[in-house]
Amino acid sequence: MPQPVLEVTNLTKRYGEYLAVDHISFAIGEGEILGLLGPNGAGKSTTIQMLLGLTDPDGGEIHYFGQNFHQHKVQILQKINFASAYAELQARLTVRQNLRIFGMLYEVENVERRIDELLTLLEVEEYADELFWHLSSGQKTRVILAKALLNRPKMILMDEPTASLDPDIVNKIIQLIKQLQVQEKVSILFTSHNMQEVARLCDRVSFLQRGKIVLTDTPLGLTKRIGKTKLLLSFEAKQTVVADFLEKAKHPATFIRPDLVEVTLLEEDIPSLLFELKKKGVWITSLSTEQPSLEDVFLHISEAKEL
Amino acid sequence: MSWQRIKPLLLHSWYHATHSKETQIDLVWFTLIQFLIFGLIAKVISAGQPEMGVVLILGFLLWEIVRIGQYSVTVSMLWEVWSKSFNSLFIAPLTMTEWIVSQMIAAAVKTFLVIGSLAVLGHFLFHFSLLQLGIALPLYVLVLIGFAYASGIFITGLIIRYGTNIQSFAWGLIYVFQPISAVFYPVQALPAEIRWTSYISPITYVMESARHQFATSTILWNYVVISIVMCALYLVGAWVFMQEMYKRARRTGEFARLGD
Repeated sequence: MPQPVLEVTNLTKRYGEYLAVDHISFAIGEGEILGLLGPNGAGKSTTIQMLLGLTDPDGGEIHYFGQNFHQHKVQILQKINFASAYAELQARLTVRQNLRIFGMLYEVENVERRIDELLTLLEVEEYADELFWHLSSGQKTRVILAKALLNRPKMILMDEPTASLDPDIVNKIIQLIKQLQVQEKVSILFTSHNMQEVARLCDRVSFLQRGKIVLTDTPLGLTKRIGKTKLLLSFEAKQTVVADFLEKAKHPATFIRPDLVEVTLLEEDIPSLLFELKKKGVWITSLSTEQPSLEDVFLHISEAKEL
Repeated sequence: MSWQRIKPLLLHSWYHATHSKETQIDLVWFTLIQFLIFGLIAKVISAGQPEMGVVLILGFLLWEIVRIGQYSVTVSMLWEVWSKSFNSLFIAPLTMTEWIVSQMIAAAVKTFLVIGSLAVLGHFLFHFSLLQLGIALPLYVLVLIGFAYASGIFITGLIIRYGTNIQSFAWGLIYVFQPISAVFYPVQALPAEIRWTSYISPITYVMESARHQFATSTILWNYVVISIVMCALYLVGAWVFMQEMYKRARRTGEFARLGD
């Protein structure tokens, strides 16, 4: 098995009595995108802070590229980077000055050319000589992304990198991340509250709940675990007939209108349900199904339900 | 520690100083105005007591070395904290030692530029020359800038640990030393009960020796040696304290939340 780019073993962080991160272990391979999801307070931020060396763990180990992070921090930080919609650069410096400083810290060759390349790629080249504090939050986020790509990192930690961006830019950023993954084999640890984004980008997803990883699977694997499908039916019949039938059949249902109902059931139970309704004289005028999403999985886990 | 990483931080400091009106006003404008006021007061007093005018200007210039040096080391970090960019720097390959050393170099340059300009101005406007301190001048400056570093590093440690709640220490704490350091008057002017406090400040020995030099043209070498040793001890103490605060802030998670 090839050596993981990032390997976390039994990572633990305690703040007084509160166990923020509870013996978590995971690994990210070369060119892999791992989503780290969880409700607020689940331990995502603390985990990322430890992975960046801003907070010291109380236990466990972090290895990047097979090297112990604690022992080779500077060499490792040279090869990784971080992007977040909430990160900032020095407000009183221009975009180019900020990027030049970071380029020099990362010892990037041809730093000016690299800055131009990235500003063009992220469509913020016209703000190169603007002071950072004059930028909108969306422009700042793109500059932060440019900073995160300056040193051609092998591993990027991304904490909600697309929050505050317009949908068209989000789309471009997602394509860029995919391109980095495929063409440059960059490994990414990705957190986001946008489940569609996570489903599009991540190869695997780990769910954190109260400091513990409670589940890791592919996005498809996770949604399959929920199993239930939402069926939206519009019909011509009395509402009571349909409601009585669904109650007896023990299918959870919500009437959106007297002639429109949303039923949650297993996919394989749909044909028999439709057949039974027809037998009761219910005329189905339209139907549609909705597969469970990662958002449903998120809600399930946040509500502490077993999967 | 790598010079390759200190260099961009010096450039950062230069960019910031050229963009920040606040820094320019704090370091250049206030200092210049105060210098002119002190110089004019000294001129008036000198009519009756010539040595008093010298004491005032000398005290002002030497004290400003401490103030500007300490302010530069500490407030440069606060600017990053206010911008919420301090953490971004430490996500890059940068050590706290490199950060502090770069700020010490930048502080020395700023202090040299400001005090050097005022010294030249003082020569033309008030016929006062720091160069009269001769061979002892670089040693005095060494002690004063060293003490500025020590207090700057100490306050940096406090801010790393306790955040911006105590940010006013960055420009206020150094003034604790001004009344007890014989800046504008000799130690003997203090009430006898608190005179001992003067001798815990290395600035006192520099000020006493410098004034003695202007009066008698002789250097109090024992004071110079004491001040250098004392300053070195303060520097080591401040460094150990700052490193301990940094370690603690990383352990408690406060370092990652600095500026939030």
